[in-house]
Order: sequence, then C-alpha cells, then structure tokens
Amino acid sequence: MSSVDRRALAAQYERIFGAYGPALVRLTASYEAVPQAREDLLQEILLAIWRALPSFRGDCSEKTFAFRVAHNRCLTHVWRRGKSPESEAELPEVPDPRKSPETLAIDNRRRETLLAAIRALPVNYRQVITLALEDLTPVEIAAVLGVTENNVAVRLNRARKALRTILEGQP
Amino acid sequence: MNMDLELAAWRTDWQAPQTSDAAMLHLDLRRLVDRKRRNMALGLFGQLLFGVLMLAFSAWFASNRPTLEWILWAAVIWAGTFFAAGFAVWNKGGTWKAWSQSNAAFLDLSRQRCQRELQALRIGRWFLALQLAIVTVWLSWDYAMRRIPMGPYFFGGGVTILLAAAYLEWFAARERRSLRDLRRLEEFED
Repeated sequence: MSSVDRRALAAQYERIFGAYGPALVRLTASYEAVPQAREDLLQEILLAIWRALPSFRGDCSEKTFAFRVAHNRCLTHVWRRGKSPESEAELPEVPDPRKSPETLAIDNRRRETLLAAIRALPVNYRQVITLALEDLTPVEIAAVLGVTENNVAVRLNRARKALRTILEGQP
Repeated sequence: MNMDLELAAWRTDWQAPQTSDAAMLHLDLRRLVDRKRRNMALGLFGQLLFGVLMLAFSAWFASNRPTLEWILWAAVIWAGTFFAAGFAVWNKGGTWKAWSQSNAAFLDLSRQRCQRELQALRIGRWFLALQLAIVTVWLSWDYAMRRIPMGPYFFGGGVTILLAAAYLEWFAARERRSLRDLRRLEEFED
C-alpha cells in the first residue's frame, strides 16, 4: 500500500469516527451496561472498523459500513457473554426516575431510562430500534442488518411496541 | 401518542449529547493489550495444566505396564511435555507488560507478541514433524514385530496431523494479519 493510500485510509477513518463516533458509543451502551465492558466493546469496534477499512469498496455508504461492522461486533459480544448469571447480574435495574439523585439532569435520566429499556429488548428488536434512533432509513437498516425492508418494517413495529410496553411499565 | 412523535421523542433522548462520549472515542490500545494479557495468562495456564495431566497420565499408564516399550513411551511424553511447557513459558517472557503507558509502547508490545506467536508456530511445525517421525518409527516397529493392522492407526494419525496442520496455518494467517494491522496502526499513530 502506498503512502498516498495510507493517508487516504487514515483520513477516511477519521471521517467515519468524526461523523458516526457518538452513534457508535450509544450503540455500545445499548449492548453493554457495565462501563468497563462497554469501553472494551467500543475499542473492539474501533479496531474492527480500522481492520475492515481496506476491504471497503464503496458498495455501500460509509455510514452503512460503520454500523454493519459495529453491529457484527456487538452480536459477537452478546454471543460471547451469553446468558451467564454474572453478566446478567451486572446489568443494573432500569433506573427509577423518582429515586435518581437530584443532581442528575432530567434529560439524562430520561435517556438512561430509555437506554435501560432498550437493553431489555431482545437483540433483533434492539438492532432495528437503535438504528432507527440514529436516523437510519429502513433501506439503510436493511443494508446494515442484511435483511429485507419488509422485515425491517415488521421488526421495527414490534420493537416500538415492546419498548413502549417496557417504558410504560416504569414507575 | 402519534407514532412518529413518539419515535422523535425517543430519538431526542437517545441522541442527547453525553460528556463522556467524546472521551471514549479514541483508539485506546491499553484495553486491548490488557485483555490479550489475560487471554495469554489463561492460555498458558491451560497449556501447563494439560502438560501436568499428560505427565500424570503417562506415568500412571507406564507404571501399570512396566515394560521397556511403555517406559520409553512415557519418557518421550515427559521429554516432549517439558520441552513444550518450558518453551511456552520462555517464549512469553518480556511480553507481559509494555515499557510505558503509551500507544507506541502498546503497539510495540502487540507486535512483539505476534512475532513470538509466529516463532512458537515455527517451533510447533518442527515439533509436529518430530512427533510424526516418532509415531511412524514406532508404528513401523510395532508392525514389524507383531504384524498388527496399521490402517486404523494411519487413518487416525493422518486426520490428527491434518487438523493440527490446518490449525497451525489458520493461526499463522491470523497472526500475520495482526502484524499487518499493527504496522498500519503504527503509521496512523505517527
């Protein structure tokens, strides 16, 4: 690889992280509640995107590419973690807004509540809802997940219903 | 609530900027290096445990059949196990900790680990060839002495060798790819 190619690759990497970095942080938060493990997962995603970048041929948008790699890593993470009692025990309860410290901003509490509710969703619902919340269109979501648009629509509908039920069940 | 309004409200909460987000968004090799160290320690522990089991089993087996043939077999197992365990410990020497807490040091350590793995792989190939030679001589001698059917032995041995060779090649390809990635990361860090 020439130095020009390398520079282009580095610029592309920076561009992707500049544009989608915060979204990737949010994505990891929906898959991992434990801060330490969440940071590990984020690092894995950053490295996975870096590794996959040379093979990216532009057959989809950089956004789709970044989210696809990130979702694959998140799925691997879920698969690895499995349903061990330890990992489940580490997951905090959905925070109760009435009991939150007063110093926490209301927005932050709402976000935490939403995040915890999303974490409680089954993985296939979590995938579509997080992508929808990141402003991805159904076409883009379908490309990221490798499913049809119809499938995305059905899943999204069910995910929203499930999320609403969880949120309404909160005190 | 209207479905679109509901989604829009969730979206606003979801995308609310977090102060900690930006701090997390840089490639922090320390985490990856630390995890690799944990995996290395677990791997080494597994190897040593397997070695101890091999030593115990061969000693028990030879003590129950105290003929020259089985004592020789146990001696070969012991020598091989001590060599492999000793090499595994020695080969990981100096790759447990980085010389400083910088990405450059972590990259250096990661590269060193890859190189050591590749070195272990080269030794592993020779070790496999040596084991193959010993088994071939052993079986040939057995056949010459007792005329026992060799088919099942050759089949079992062949499958084992093929699997071991495939694993070694897969492992080598993975380590070479890691080395390439590390070189690219080094250029990026520069």
